[in-house]
Order: sequence, then C-alpha cells, then structure tokens
Amino acid sequence: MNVNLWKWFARIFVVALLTASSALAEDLKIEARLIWGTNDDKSPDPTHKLIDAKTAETLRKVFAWKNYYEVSRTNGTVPSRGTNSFTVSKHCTIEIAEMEGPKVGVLLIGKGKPQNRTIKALSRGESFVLGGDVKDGSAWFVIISQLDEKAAAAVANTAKKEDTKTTNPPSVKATNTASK
Amino acid sequence: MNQDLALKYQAFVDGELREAEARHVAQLLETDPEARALVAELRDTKTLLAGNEPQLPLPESRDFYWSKIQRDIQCLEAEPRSAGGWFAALAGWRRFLAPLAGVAVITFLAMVAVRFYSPAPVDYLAEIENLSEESTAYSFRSGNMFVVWTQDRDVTSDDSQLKFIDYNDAVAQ
Repeated sequence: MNVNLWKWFARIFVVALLTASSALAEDLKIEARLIWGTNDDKSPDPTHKLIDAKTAETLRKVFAWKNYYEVSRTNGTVPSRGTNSFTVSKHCTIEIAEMEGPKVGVLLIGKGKPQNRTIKALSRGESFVLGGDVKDGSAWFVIISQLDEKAAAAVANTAKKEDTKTTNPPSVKATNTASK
Repeated sequence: MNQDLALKYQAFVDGELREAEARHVAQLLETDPEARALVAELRDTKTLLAGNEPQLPLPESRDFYWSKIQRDIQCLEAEPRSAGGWFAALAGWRRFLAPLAGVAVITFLAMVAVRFYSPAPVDYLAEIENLSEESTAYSFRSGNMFVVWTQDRDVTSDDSQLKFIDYNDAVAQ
C-alpha cells in the first residue's frame, strides 16, 4: 500500500473517530421533581398532589415517611458538554452538567449556597435522588430522571395542554417549606 | 539462365535499370536468343495485364467512401475507451472504498459496544464533594434509585427518619 493511501486511511479514521465521539455526546432531556415527604395526612400546601403510587412505593422502601407530595416538576435540556440550571423551588436550585463519560455533574444549591456536587453516570430508567431532612420531621427530595424522546414529547404536550386550558394557572412552585 | 539474370531482364522490361545497365542488357539480348525470348514473353505478359485489369467502380464518391470508413474507425475507438474509463474509475475508487467500509464497520461496532455493553459497575461509582460546612452528604443505592442524602449538621441522626438499608440487599435488587 502506498503512502498516499495510508494518509487517506488515517484521515478517514480520524473523521470516523470524531463522528463517533460527537455521536456519543448528546443533549440530555431531564426532569426534576421536588417531592415533599411527610407523615401528615395533608400537605402544608393544598395545591400539592400525592405522587404516583409506583414512585411512592419506591421511596417507602427506603424512607420512613408515609406520604409524598409533588411540589414542583421542572423539565429542561442539558446541552452536550454544557450546563443547565433547574430551579425546583424558591430556595433550591440544581445545576446539571453533561460531562465526558458520559456522566453528569449535579450541583445542589440551597439558599444560594452550594451544598454538594455529585458526579456519576446517569442512565435512562435510573433515578437520581437528592434528599434531606428538615427539622420539623419532614423531608425533601429532588428526583432527577433522564427522559427518553417519547417521554419528553409527552411532557411537552401535557405542558401545552395545561397552558391552553388555564388562563391563570395556579402557582405550583415550591413553597419555602420545601427548601432546605 | 540463372535467376539473377532473369530478374535483371524483368527490371529491364519494367524500365527500372540505370542507363548504363540498360545498355549492357540490350547488348546481351542481341547475342542471347534465350534472353530475347524471355524478354518478349515478359513484355507480352505486361501488356496483357495492363489491358485486362478489372475496374471496380465505387457506388459512392471516393471522399464519401473514405469518410465512412473513418467514421466507423472513430466509433470503434470511442466505445472501448468510454467503457474502459468508467471501469477504470470504479476500480480506482475501490481501493478507497474497501478501507472506508472497514473503518465504518469498526466505528459502528465501537459505538454499539460503548452504548450497550458498558459494564454496569461504572454506574455504581459516584464522586460526591461536600461544599458546605453546615451540612454533610452521603450516598447509597436502592434498586434503580441512587440517593445523595444531605443532612444538616445540627440535625442529629436520631432525628432522622431515614431507614438505612443493607447495602448488599440494595445492590442485589
């Protein structure tokens, strides 16, 4: 094989590698749900609804709280090798970065101060849960999930329908009780 | 009479000899009756051929006839050249297509391997960095749920209602 052919081979190989690496790096469609865990039969905020039974059962396997209410649900896209912030409540923000690996870096910011940062692989079907105790005996959870294309489309459609149905939608943002 | 001498007489009849040679042959003919007989026969034959050569008239004019032949030759030359050129170009590209196909297959297999066969234990690894002096963080896993628990330092562990599950049970789920 002559030198020119080897050069062509090397060029094609480099292009293929770049294509493969760029194909592996993808935007992440993320859903972050703020959950309030309590033993009370009613949520402090009447607008909060009980979470779905499956998620509640999963949480009950690990945590002792009896009831879990959804305070807020935030969807967004984390760009490849980029960062996006998810404000799940007035005092709680989560900053998610898509990193090489592929991994995600999750920075928990409570009351404007960084609390901790976790770096791990996030895969579809797995939930990444941030949580903490509150002095009154309740707890907060932020469940971070990676949505697939169908789920992301469904969420977008639901959001559109809700926007069209309600002219003045009630605020479902977290109360300050949900934050640390 | 030898053959060389006979050929010389033939050239004499055809007028192909030099003047001196032609004079010499003429002198020989005067003295040699056999040579005279041969020359006479050659002249008769030449006369017969010249007077009875068949004439074949062409159906077209001379220029048109030759232009047809020229066109036929050009067509015959053009066809193999175009076919050969196309095949030659394909053969030339084949040497690039073969390694390109190989690279494409390797890339595809690598992507499939990375996407679907990445070892599961990697998902279990996590780095947690505590950035606050007011709280502490630890992590654990339960089934398909990975939990990072943040606890205020002033909340004692007795106050916490967090159930600690057996790590092995969690991993086994």
